[in-house]
Amino acid sequence: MTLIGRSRAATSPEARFRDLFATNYPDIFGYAARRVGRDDAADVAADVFTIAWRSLHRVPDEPESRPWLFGVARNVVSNHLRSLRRHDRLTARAASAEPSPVQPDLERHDDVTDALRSLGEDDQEILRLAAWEGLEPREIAVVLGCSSNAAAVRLHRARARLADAYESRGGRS
Amino acid sequence: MNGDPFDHLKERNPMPRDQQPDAPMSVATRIMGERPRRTAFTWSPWSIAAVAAVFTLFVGGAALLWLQGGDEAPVAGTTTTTAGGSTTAPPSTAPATTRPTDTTIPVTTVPGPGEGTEIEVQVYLMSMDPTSIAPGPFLIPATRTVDDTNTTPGVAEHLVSGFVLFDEERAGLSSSIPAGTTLNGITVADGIAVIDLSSEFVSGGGTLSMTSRLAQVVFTLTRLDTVDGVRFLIDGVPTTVFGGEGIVVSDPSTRADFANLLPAILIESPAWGGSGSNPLVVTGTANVFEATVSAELLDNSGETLWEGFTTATCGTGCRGDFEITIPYDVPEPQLGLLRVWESSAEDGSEINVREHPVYLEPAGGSSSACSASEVSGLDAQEGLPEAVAATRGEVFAAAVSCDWGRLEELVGAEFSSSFGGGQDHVDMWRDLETGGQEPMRFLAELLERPYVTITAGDGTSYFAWPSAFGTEWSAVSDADREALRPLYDDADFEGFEQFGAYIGYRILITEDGEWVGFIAGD
Repeated sequence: MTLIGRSRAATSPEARFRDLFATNYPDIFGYAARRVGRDDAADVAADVFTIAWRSLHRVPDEPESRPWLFGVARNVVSNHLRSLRRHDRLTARAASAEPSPVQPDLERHDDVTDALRSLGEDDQEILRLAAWEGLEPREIAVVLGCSSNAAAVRLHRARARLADAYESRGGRS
Repeated sequence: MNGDPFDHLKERNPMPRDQQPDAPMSVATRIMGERPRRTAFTWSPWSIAAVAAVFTLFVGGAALLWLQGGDEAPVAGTTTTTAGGSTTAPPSTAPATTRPTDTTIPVTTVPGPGEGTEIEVQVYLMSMDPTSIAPGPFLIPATRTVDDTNTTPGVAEHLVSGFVLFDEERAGLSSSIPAGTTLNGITVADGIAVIDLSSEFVSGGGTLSMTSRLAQVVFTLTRLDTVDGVRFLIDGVPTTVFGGEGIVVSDPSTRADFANLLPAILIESPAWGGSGSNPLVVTGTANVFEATVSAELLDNSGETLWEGFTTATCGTGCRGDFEITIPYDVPEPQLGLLRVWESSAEDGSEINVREHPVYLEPAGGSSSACSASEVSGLDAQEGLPEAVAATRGEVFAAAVSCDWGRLEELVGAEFSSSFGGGQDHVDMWRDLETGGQEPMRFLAELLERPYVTITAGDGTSYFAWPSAFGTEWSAVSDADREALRPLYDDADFEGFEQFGAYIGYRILITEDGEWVGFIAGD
C-alpha cells in the first residue's frame, strides 16, 4: 500500500522538466531556427521551455508533450515575428526605414521552395511541420489545435497544392 | 529532379535534424530558478488502478485509515522544491519579531520549501527604457513565489540572491545587488524592517549601482503591508552612508529617497510576470503629460483584448496614482502582455513604454462558468448528524457557485483530493473546470445522492457520498447503482465492474463535520 503513491512522487517537477528539456530541446531549437534563424532560435527555445516550466502541470505526458511544445513554439515564433515587425515600425517611424529582417527560413530559391512560398501560410506551416519537423498528422493536430482527421486532410490537400505549384514551375529544381 | 515535391521539400530542410544542437542543460537550470506556478495532479491510468487496488484489498473501511493523516499515509504529494531559493543564512531559532538591539539583530531562518501555501510576491529589479528621454535604469516589480508562512524572509532572500530569471534577463531586467551578497537576517517591528546584509552588498559599482541596489531593497520591503521604512545593517553594523561615493539614506529609508529611479509610468500591479485577476486591475504611479496613461492588453497571440487610457491623480511634472480595471476574456489561462505608455506631447508617438507579461485567466467564479450552476437545491437527508448536515450544505453551496475562496476555507488540513495529489486541491479543481471537466458538478450532484457510513479501523466514522462507495461493486444494490445516473452510464458501470468497486468521485465528511475528502479515480 505504501508503494502506491511513489511512482508519481518519484518524478519531481525538476526531474520531469529536465527530462522534457533534454529530450525535446534539439527539436524545438530546430523548429525555431527554421523559422526565425539560428541567431534567435536559442531565445525562442528558452521562451518555449520557460512557458513549459511555468505551467508544467499543463504539459501532457509523453508522447504528447512533444507536439504540445511545438504548439507553444508556434505561438512564441509568431509573437517573435510580430515584435520584429513592431520594432520595424518603430524604427521606421523614428528614422528612415531600415531594411526589415528577412525571415530566414527559406533562403534558397528553387522550384520546390518557390512552390512552397506561393502557397497560403496555413499550407506552408502544415507542410513544414510534416516535412521538416517530421510530425505525424496526429501530432500536427495537437500543434494546430484541430482533430487528427482534419490535420490529415489538410496535409493531404496542402501536398496536392504543393504538387500543383511545383508542376506549374516546370517541376524542376 | 522529378518525383513528389514533398520529398524534395524534406531535403530542403534549412536545418537538418543532425545539425540541431544538444540540449544545454544549464539553460534548463536557469529556467527552473522558479517553481512551477501551480502543481496539479494529473489523472493517469495507474491512479485509477491504484484506487481500484486499494478497494479490492481493503473493502469495508480499512482503506480509509490513511485519511487520518498518520505517518503511514500512502498519499505521496507532488512535492516541489525551490531551485533558486537556496538557504544561505545561518539557521537560528530566534523569533523573527524580536526587536533588535542597537548593533545586532537576531537571525531568522530563510525560506525553503515550507508547510504553507505558495503566494506571489514582488521583488524590484532594474530595467532600462529606450523609449524614455532618460533611459534609466528604473525600478520594476517582478514576480516571485514564497511560502505564506515565511513571507518577509522569503521576499528578502529572493531579492538578496540577485537571481534574475531567464526570461526577465532577456527582457532587460537586472539586479544591482552584487552576487555573493547574503541575508544575515531580517526583522520587522512597528512598520520598520531591519535588514542585515553581508558586506558584499556594498562592494563594487558606482553611484548609480549603489543607489539602485538600495532602492531595490527599500521598494521590495515597503511593498509588504507591514513595512513602511527600512534600516540597513551591514554585517550587524547600522549603516546610513554607503560606498565610496557617500550615498546617504534616511533613517529609516523610505521610497521617497529614490524618486529619481522611478520610470515615468510605474506599474505596481500586476508585476512583471505576475498573475492577473479577471478583470485585470492595473495600479501604479505616473508622471506624464496631462496625467494621461494609455494602456492595452494583448493575449498570447498578440491580439488586442483591450485598449484605452486613464488619468492619473496628478500629471505634467508631478507624480500621481492611477488605476485601470480592464475587462477581458480568454478561452484558457495564458501569458498575455500589458502595455502602458505616454503619448508624446510632440507627435503622439508612444514614449515611456512599460510592458509586463501577465498571466491571464478566463473569467471564472461567475455562475455561468461553473459546471455546477445548474444543479438544483439540496434536500435534507435523514440520519445525518447536525455537524455533517451543516458541512454538506456548505460544501454544496460553495460547489454550485464555484466559490473557490469558500472551498479553500472548507478544505481541512487533512484533506485528500486524490492519491498522490498535492495540497493545491482548489487550484486543481479550478484547472479541471477550466479544462472543461466538471468536478464541481460532480461534487454538487453527488451530495444529492444517497450516502453511506463507513467506520475506519480506529472507530472513526465517515459519511460518504455516493452510497455505492461503501462496498464492492458486486454488492452495490440496484437502487444505489441507479442513483448514480445520469452522472454515470452503462460504460462507466462496466468499468466499476471490472475494477470491482465504484471509482468515481466521492465525498467524505467525518462524523464531526470535517470535510476530509473529494476523491476521484477518473
